[in-house]
Amino acid sequence: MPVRPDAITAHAQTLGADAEALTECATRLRALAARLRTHKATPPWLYDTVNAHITACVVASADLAEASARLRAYAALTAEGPDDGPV
Amino acid sequence: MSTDAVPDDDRSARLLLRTAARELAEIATTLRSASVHATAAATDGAVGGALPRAPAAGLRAQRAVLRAVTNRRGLGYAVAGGTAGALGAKLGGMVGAHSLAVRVMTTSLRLRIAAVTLQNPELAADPLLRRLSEAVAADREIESVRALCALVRDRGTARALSAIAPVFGEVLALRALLDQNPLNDRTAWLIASGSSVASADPITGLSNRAIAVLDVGEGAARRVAPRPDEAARLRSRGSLLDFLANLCAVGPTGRALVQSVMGPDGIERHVVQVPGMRIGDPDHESPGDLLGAFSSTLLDSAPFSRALAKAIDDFGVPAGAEIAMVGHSAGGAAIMNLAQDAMFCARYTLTHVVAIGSPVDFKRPASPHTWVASITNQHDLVPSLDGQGAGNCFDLHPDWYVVDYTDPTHLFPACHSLEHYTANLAEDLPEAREHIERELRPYQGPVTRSQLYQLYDREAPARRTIETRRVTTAGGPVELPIRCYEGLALTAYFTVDAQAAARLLGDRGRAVRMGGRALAAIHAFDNRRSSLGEHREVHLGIVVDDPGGRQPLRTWRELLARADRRALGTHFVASAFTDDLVCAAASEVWGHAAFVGDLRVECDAGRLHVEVGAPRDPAMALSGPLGPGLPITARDLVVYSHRGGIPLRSHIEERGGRRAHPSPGARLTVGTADHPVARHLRDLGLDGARPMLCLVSPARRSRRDAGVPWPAR
Repeated sequence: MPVRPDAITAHAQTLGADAEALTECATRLRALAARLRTHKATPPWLYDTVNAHITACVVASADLAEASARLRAYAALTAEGPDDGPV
Repeated sequence: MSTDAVPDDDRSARLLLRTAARELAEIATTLRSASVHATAAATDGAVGGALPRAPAAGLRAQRAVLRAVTNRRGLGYAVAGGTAGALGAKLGGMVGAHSLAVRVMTTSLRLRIAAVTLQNPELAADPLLRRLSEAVAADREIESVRALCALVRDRGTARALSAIAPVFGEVLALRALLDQNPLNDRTAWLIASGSSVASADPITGLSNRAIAVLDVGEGAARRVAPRPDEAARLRSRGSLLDFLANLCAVGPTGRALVQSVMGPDGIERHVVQVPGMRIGDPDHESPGDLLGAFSSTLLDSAPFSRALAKAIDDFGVPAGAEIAMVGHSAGGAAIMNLAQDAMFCARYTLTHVVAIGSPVDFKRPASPHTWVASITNQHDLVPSLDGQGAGNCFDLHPDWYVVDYTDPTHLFPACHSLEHYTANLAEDLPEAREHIERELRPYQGPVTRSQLYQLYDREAPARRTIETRRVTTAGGPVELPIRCYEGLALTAYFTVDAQAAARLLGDRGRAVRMGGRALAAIHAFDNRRSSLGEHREVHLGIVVDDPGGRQPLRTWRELLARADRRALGTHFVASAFTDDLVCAAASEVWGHAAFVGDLRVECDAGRLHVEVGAPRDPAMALSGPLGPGLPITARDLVVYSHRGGIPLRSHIEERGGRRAHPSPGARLTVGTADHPVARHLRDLGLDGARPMLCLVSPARRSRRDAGVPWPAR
């Protein structure tokens, strides 16, 4: 199979953008929680649920950022040549 | 009662929750998009294919990507998109592994339910409904099924559906997102994200489109005349309430009305009025049957809308003329399909569309100048069949006039009826009515022309050639078979004393017994258009089995047999007609004891009226309510008679929808006149009797040929 570093780089860029989008999601969720906190119509279960979503978004963003960075490094190495480093 | 009548606090709270629900749905969509991208990276051959070049870095990268799509504390089990992603998602769905996107979308749906509950507090106050929504939201599948069963057991299906109607879409979507059936996930996502029409059944995941595409045909429309009682109810002026009254008069009969009105400015405009789904056979030749309702909701073009276009063309609406369309239920979906047809909108100027109780959320008019009003009762399930109901948090149509209201009458399907919507608009929603009337002002004026159309899936094939022949009677020549192209048929069955029936029959037949009693039948036909012109006929008969002398039949099995193989039939003992020629044919061709006289055969608004004899002193009158009914398939009628001492058997081929009314409230009154029908009815002891069953065919077609000697020689 031919080596296509550009395809790997494209995935890296997409996941990097997604990581940023998820950080933005976490910010939106925080703002949403703050907006709802003061309103009596808000169902009581919502706070814990939204907080769990915020945490998950932060973790997911970090995961995607990590995956993006790893893919970027991988793409760079495949463009250069064989790599014998530790797995 | 309307959305306009609630306190500001409630309205702002609902707005807050809906806005939050919409924002959560947007976040869920972003999360899903990230999941799809990460799955694509994990499964792309380019990533694995470069491993020999940099194995250590490649494995580290693959491990990081896999972690991103499977980390329970992050994106969750987020395999999605593409062939491999779809397969992985299905496997995950089967073991109940959920992604963060699904969890956030679930929160969005629960907030939508909370917003609807603010407007319908009974949803929270009712312990059974609360139990159901809590079980669904908590992903307790068995408990949610039990809660639903408890609700149905306690309220009955109709009331259970009515109770759950405002959150029906949300509950279905929640259940579909969280259950272990991977086939319904896409539909659940479409409902929850408000991105498109629900394309599959949210419970089973079976594709609705697969059903909808069965509805085929180029559409056809034929001019028909309204019945006299319908004609009397059609309004002579144009206004919203007048158009609704017209729709009520036409009813869900697979017909549509096109009218021209002279507007206040002296310009003639045209109004297309389309009732809802035709009641009866789900796959009838009408485009407004159940299948047509499906296809009109899910597809952009269907036989229903194509038939309407042909009716408008036949009516002669000039190119460029202004048209308004008013539709109820599936009729609303059909007119919206016409509204989104760019060719139609280029030919005519479609100014207004009013859809009442219709699933039209994902339809868009082709012209930005078409004004659209959608009127929906939150307890009506039909408008939510496209996936969006009262809990919709997406502003799908900022430019539409949307009236989404509740009223104290929650019972479905009653709240879906056009009569109910009309009463709500006339009495309970004055602001909405006034607003729509103002918009429809150009169409307010005298009706200058009116034409009713029967709609069909297809153009009629070349007429089947019927071999006809002439016979001569004392009344003149008669062409056989006698055909009725359009008529009304009413049948009433009575249990009668078996001995009395046997005396009446003599040696001409053997009465069928049911629980020791015989069965008498009154068959009444109003042949509005037939090969012998317009005429009416009423027959009194006794249900008999094979008069040929065989053993008594197993009656119930006999009912299922085709007419040409069925021995069970009716022996007509007296027949009355309004026409001399038909009377002569009945007497001389079939040997019926036939009389000419005044007859009334009517059925309107759930009541029937059959009368034989002079109106002031009828020989018999069968009159009263039909009671609840259910659609059944039309069955041919086997008729026995004697002509010149020879027993004859004939059968009347019947076509057209039919309803059975198993507990009619009508009553038979026998007059004092010395009329053969009255005499026989008195002999049978039927004065004051109620029928045990009534059958009604409002749009009957029939054919009857000469009888054959029986038993066959």
